[in-house]
Amino acid sequence: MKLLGIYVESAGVRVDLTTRPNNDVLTYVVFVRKWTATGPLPEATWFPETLETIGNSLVLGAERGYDVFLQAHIRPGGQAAIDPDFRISDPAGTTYTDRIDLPQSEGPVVERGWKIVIR
Amino acid sequence: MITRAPFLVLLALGLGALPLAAVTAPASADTGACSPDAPADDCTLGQIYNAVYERAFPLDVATTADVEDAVTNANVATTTPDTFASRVHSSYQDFLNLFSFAVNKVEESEDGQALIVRFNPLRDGRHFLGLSATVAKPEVSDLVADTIPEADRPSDVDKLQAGLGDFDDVTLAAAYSMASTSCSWTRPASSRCWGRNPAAYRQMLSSVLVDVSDLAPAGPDIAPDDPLINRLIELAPATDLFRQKISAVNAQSRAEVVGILRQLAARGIQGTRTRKAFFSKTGIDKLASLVDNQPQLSVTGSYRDPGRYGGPDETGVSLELQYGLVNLNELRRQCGSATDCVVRALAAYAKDGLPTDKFVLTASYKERGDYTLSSLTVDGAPIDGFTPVNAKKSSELKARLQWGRLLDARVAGRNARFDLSADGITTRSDGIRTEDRWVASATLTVPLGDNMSIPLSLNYANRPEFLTGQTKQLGVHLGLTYRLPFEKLLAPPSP
Repeated sequence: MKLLGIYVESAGVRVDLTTRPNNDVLTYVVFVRKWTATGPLPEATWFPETLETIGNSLVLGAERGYDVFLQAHIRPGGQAAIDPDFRISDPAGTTYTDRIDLPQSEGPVVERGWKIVIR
Repeated sequence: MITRAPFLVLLALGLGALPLAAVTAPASADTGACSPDAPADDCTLGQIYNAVYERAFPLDVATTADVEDAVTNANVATTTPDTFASRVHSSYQDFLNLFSFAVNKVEESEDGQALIVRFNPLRDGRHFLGLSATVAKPEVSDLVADTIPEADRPSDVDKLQAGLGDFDDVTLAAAYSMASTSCSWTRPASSRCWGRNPAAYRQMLSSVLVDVSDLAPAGPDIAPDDPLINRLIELAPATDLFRQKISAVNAQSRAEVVGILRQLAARGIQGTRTRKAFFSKTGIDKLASLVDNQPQLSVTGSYRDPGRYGGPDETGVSLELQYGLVNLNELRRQCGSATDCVVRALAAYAKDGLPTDKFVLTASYKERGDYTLSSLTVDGAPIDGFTPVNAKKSSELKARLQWGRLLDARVAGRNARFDLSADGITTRSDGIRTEDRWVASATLTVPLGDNMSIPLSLNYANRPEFLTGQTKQLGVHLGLTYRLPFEKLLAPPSP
């Protein structure tokens, strides 16, 4: 999986994500994984219906960290891309809004992720 | 002797390559300048990471829009686009603004000869209606031009052309299509989903993606407190590690930071390779074909008034209905809301291939009205030698039907197959039929093992000469097809 960003955050901070895919993205899903003392655990699964309308949120707990990763099934021969609005309510107002290109070389399912380290 | 041709060809190829080279560069991070071997000072850590990752999994070449922009910027047009559309557009801009509540889009055609006004589409459930009006640059039709004596024709046609108004050639069109706004596995199978817009199916397909992902092997996970991450935070402390520029990192630590980015990217590449191999085997790529096989129905109607000298009015209507026999509706019928059943079906398609059978029905009808022109004047005087035009009403009907599917009946361990096709055209002029050709055939193919089959065809044509080897309108063909067992060896090598 290709990383889009690594963030160092505190517990209690909120993370918001909304997405806007183009028509070459057949479907996609966002998994949130929580790293606890014992290892990674599924925290949430976010679906397009909500991501594209009101978006999804997560409040970071006092854990080791989180992975927010996106899995997109792309159309063969297309030019798939998703425009994300990934916002962290930290004092710096950290955001990631760069267009996410989903290349054919990684198809049929392309994965992209943001890693959050809790300090 | 030196000939110029090869030089010219090379020159043309060389010139052609310039814009192409300019547009095929990766669209995102500047992988060249941010190469981990010698990253430029203004490269961010994220760009250096991307440069390593994209060596293994390059981004797609530039998008169509980028190519169009680059070509537009690089090439000088050999023909200047007509100014008709832009002139009409700017002249009536204020008028169009009054109707902005109803106008969805106003666009000029690429050649500049037509202005298209699209009105707000009407949607009710899965019914979609789009209306448009097109104002095209009016022309003197050949039907009129050919009646002017040849010697004066070019100058007279130019004068007639100059006398035409902006709104002499207008087309009004309505397009209806059936397209569901959303679809789900839980919806009753009797309620079909229509259309091929991925957005309508995204939510339902995402649950399949989750089920497939559950079966996927785990990639090489990088824990948030992995030694590599800890060291990166130590060397380049920031909230957003990847947004920092390499120049912000202590000069002595830069090489180590780049080394860590290389290792992180290498682990990402390894994970992607594992997951790519898995997903490629699951048959999930068949979902795209299943969406493309969804039923699609569209009906369009249009009326064109080409103006005084543009020939007869034209009225047309066309219908198109097509779908692949294996599509998401079929999968919903088979599996209902059990997405594990869908995952199994995709795996079966990956193994046996997705049937390509389609149903296609297209029909179009076009009618040209009567057209008479008894006199033609230029500069206030009638044209000498002008022959009055008196074109009668004419029409054209075209239709095509194609359908085929495997039958449940099995012979010698294989399914029999039934195919139906029909094709035809009828034209009329002044109520008299001028062309009439209709051909139809129904074929039952009975398999006899892996390499042999017996096709039984019933053929019909409205005239026997439209069928090869038949002297009657209706005929039956019985054949024997045998595929050579070594035909694969005879096949040309694939590129």
